[in-house]
Amino acid sequence: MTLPKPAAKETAESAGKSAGFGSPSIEAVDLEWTYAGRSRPALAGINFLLEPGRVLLVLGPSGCGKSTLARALVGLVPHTLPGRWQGSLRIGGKDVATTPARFLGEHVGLVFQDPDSQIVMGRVDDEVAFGLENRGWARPDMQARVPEALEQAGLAGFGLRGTHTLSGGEKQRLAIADILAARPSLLVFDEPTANLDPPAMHATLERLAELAERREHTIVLIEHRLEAALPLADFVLLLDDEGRQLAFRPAGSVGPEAIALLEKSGAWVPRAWKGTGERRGETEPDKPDWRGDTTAPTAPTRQLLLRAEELCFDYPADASGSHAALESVSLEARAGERIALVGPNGAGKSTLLFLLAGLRRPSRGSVGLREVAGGDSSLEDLRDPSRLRPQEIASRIGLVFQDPELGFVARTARDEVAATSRASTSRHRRKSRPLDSDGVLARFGLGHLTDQDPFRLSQGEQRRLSLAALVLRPPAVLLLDEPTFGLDRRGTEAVMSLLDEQRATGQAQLLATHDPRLLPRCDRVVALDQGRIVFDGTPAEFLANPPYSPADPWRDGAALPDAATNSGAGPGTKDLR
Amino acid sequence: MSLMSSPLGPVRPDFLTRVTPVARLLAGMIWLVASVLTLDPVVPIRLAAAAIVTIVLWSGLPLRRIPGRMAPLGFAILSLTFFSIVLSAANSDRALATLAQIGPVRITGPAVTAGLSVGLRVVVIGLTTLLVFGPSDPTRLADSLVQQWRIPDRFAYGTLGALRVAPFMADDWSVIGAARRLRGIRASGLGRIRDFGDRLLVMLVAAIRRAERLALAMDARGFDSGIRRSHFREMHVTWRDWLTVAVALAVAVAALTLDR
Amino acid sequence: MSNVLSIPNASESSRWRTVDIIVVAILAVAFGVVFWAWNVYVWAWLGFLDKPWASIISGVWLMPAVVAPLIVRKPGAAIFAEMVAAIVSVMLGSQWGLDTLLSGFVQGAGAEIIFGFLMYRNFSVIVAFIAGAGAGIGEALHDIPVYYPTLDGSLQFGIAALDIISGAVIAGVLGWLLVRSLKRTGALTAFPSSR
Ligand SMILES: Nc1ncnc2c1ncn2[C@@H]1O[C@H](COP(=O)(O)OP(=O)(O)OP(=O)(O)O)[C@@H](O)[C@H]1O
Ligand SMILES: Nc1ncnc2c1ncn2[C@@H]1O[C@H](COP(=O)(O)OP(=O)(O)OP(=O)(O)O)[C@@H](O)[C@H]1O
Ligand SMILES: [Mg+2]
Ligand SMILES: [Mg+2]
Repeated sequence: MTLPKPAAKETAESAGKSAGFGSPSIEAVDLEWTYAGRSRPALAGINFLLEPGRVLLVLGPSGCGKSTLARALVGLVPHTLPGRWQGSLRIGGKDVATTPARFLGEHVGLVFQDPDSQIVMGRVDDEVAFGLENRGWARPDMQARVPEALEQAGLAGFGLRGTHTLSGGEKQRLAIADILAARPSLLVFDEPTANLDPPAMHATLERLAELAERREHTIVLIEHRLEAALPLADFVLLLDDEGRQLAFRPAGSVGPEAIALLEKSGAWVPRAWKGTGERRGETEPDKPDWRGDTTAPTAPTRQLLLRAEELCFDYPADASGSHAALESVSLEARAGERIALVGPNGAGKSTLLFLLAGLRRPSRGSVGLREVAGGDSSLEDLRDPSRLRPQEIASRIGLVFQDPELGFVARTARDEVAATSRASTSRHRRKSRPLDSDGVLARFGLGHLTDQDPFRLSQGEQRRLSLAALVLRPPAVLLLDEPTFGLDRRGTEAVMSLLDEQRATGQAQLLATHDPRLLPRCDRVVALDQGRIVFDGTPAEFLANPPYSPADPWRDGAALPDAATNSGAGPGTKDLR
Repeated sequence: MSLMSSPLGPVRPDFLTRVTPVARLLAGMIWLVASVLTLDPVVPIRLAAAAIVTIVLWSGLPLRRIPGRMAPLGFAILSLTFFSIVLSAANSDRALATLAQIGPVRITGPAVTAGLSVGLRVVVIGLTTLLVFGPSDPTRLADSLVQQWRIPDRFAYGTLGALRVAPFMADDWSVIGAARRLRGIRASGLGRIRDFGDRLLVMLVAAIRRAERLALAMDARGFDSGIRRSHFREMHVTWRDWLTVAVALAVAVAALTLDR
Repeated sequence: MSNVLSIPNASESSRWRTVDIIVVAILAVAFGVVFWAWNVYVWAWLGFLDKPWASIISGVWLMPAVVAPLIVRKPGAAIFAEMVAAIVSVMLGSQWGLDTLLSGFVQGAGAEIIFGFLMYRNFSVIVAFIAGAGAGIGEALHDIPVYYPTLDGSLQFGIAALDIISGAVIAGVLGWLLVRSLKRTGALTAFPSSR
């Protein structure tokens, strides 16, 4: 397969900066890396050659070493993180292991997954200049370059803003401006759209597409939102769950065996790669069996479990003034109902979940919780969660936090699962269920980790554990903040099947999410915007006419999978360009 | 809460906002030391007056916000003054006349003046702190410490990075508490101490994770490259800085030496 | 042509890596946040006891001076940690203002001397205990002339003694236990203290 030669225009500007290597090639030969203190390599048997100016998409299940590869490309591995390095990785002909990190730092830029953890300075222009100062740029050059980079990232005029006042999407753009500023020739993006709302994600990917279009950079992209990312890629690198390379192919010609292996490893697989006709059940989010039981329990059991009336909430004013995080939000949830809570970054989703769980008190309005769906407790009044004692609240409502670590209460995974049931004194909700902690852990694929400290688990494992902890003593209402974020296919399946099961027993579920793929699996969608409810209805209605502008990203996000198969849009459309 | 902006919020440009932060720091330290040198209350009174005049005339600080900011000092000043007087060594000096008798406690004149001077020190310290940290944000202080005093820049900017994430940690702390409550963890009696410890541990683990991520991000942008860092915002020592330090010194000397 | 490269354990040297700097700075900031909570829960009551008995828990403020060196094991860790914690409390509006910087420096130096005397080689609980006491001495040396100059000699002695005991027990021993717990969670794998 022939690819167009990259435009060899070494731009005057980047030539002015030290003897760079244009957009570099990347060559890995038997690359293997083991973190100090680990027995298993995080990456092994990596062999590929990426030509200059190409876009590489890295795919694989959670924990397979994608971020590790990104770190190797900037030299953090092996120069900053301790461990054992074998084989070679060459960028523009320079071996990463023997090239001083400062050289790599000048030519490679890495955007991390979480924008908040990579912003250093208090003001936007200082922040963009930070990387340039580290590289010893002269002041006049910096003064010229900083506004340019901001403009390239879509942040023109933001120079004097405080970095803490930016929205999630703006922070992500700032992170991109940061690395563009130093004019690196290799750009590495590690899940740059995680935690962004669909329009912001769209904008970020469009920005990436523009960069790719110019062919001035070699780009390595790690991204879970495959449908949107695949069209950008020239090549794909597939890794299995042990960090071994499954395949390195042009994006348009990935063989069926490689795809089958990738699927087996538990990773998401782009829809475009699926066979046209037969679809195997357990693989994709929109398939009927993955979707599970979408029929909610029938009317008599649909008892009111949670009612919020006219909730208002303001965060305390800071230097940028105060603003209402929630205004007059009213909401009801009934037994067996699954409600999706959607909205742009900063709309107030997490705030609403906190109020519902009684973790913050509304400045106006009220929240009422009933203990148990159906049965004898129907006479019980709705109770205000912030007035309940800890042992009473656990049976009524549970919250899975966006950051699972913050919620851990025990020193081993087993105790973590047992903690809630031990703490609650009231009646057990489903006595018939004979699951012990070990059984629950096994179900979540954590069976081998029962005695591990929860903090020692990987991100994906921690997220699953935080859900498992709510299984033995399921609360009547379960609130989840971004429950599937960063999970691979296998993890998402485990989470969703658990949720289906609990819903069938009458649990009401409220899911705050940016992933439109989950919407079809919910009974209702409640959409927030700037602290107000702007929509409350069925997923179909929501997707037909999302109450946001631009609306397309919301619609497309959920619709894309089917659209892609129906229209037969093939893989690697970029090759045709 | 953000530790990255100046503590009193936005300031309007004025003489002191144009003085480099280290010059203000030096001037502040001079007054701090002067106020601690004697037990004569006149010295801190003079310095406090000088500080108030400076704040009003040359600092650019939003005056309305100052009382709120100084309020927490009130209790500290009162309690420190009270105990300094009541527990003063001078009280047991039989040669001194009794000024008042509260129960078994005898209070002497020198005890009162010395106690007042200790309390007033805190007033001077508080006002001077406003003058040092109020007129600019910590980034400028770090710039200035690095450029003028040659403080190792990795430490200065590393600290700045840490200050930026402080609000996240404050959120973490309350979320951790909330999570424990929701999980039905209740603590009473001595269990509270254990609970506090567990919560602290979780927060510190989260803080360390945050630190590791931030350090990697900084290194990825060449923070540890060994190249000599340049400065986006250059700080120059001007006549204003010299004037500020000279005047601060003159005021301190005057406050210490002038007759009553 | 595969070259095996084992990266030498960078943390053995006394050079501060970026992680070392940031972790110490962030821990110090975190302690600043915790001090605030501590002030609300505990100090608010004990404050009424005031001198000398309030000094019994003064060791809490000395924890960074012991915890930071125990984790990163680099010269200067105690002073750096105490200084950052001091800066945070100045920024948040501590009643002692600028002076916190001075006292932070002296307290850190107290612990620093002990660790330095042992060449940053020994980090046992006994060393932590002594270093905590060292920080307490630093605290007493600063606080007594600045804040308690008028007090009776025996009271001053009481304050100093309690500062030192509290430093040794709370900052030293509890700090050491805290670091041990942190180690067990696996959070410190990047540092020599966990090997
Ligand atoms: N600093 C580290 N020290 C030790 N082990 C690590 C470190 N970082 C990652 N690992 C381990 O290396 C393996 C690969 O991790 P990596 O973060 O590269 O995965 P990933 O593919 O990016 O996963 P995800 O999709 O969940 O982000 C995991 O088993 C992880 O636990
Ligand atoms: N602790 C806080 N202090 C001050 N303001 C806050 C705080 N937490 C959130 N906010 C503000 O309140 C608003 C609602 O925030 P919230 O976290 O509920 O949004 P969200 O819908 O969950 O967003 P995202 O999708 O990015 O998670 C935002 O404008 C946010 O900046
Ligand atoms: Mg990753
Ligand atoms: Mg949120």
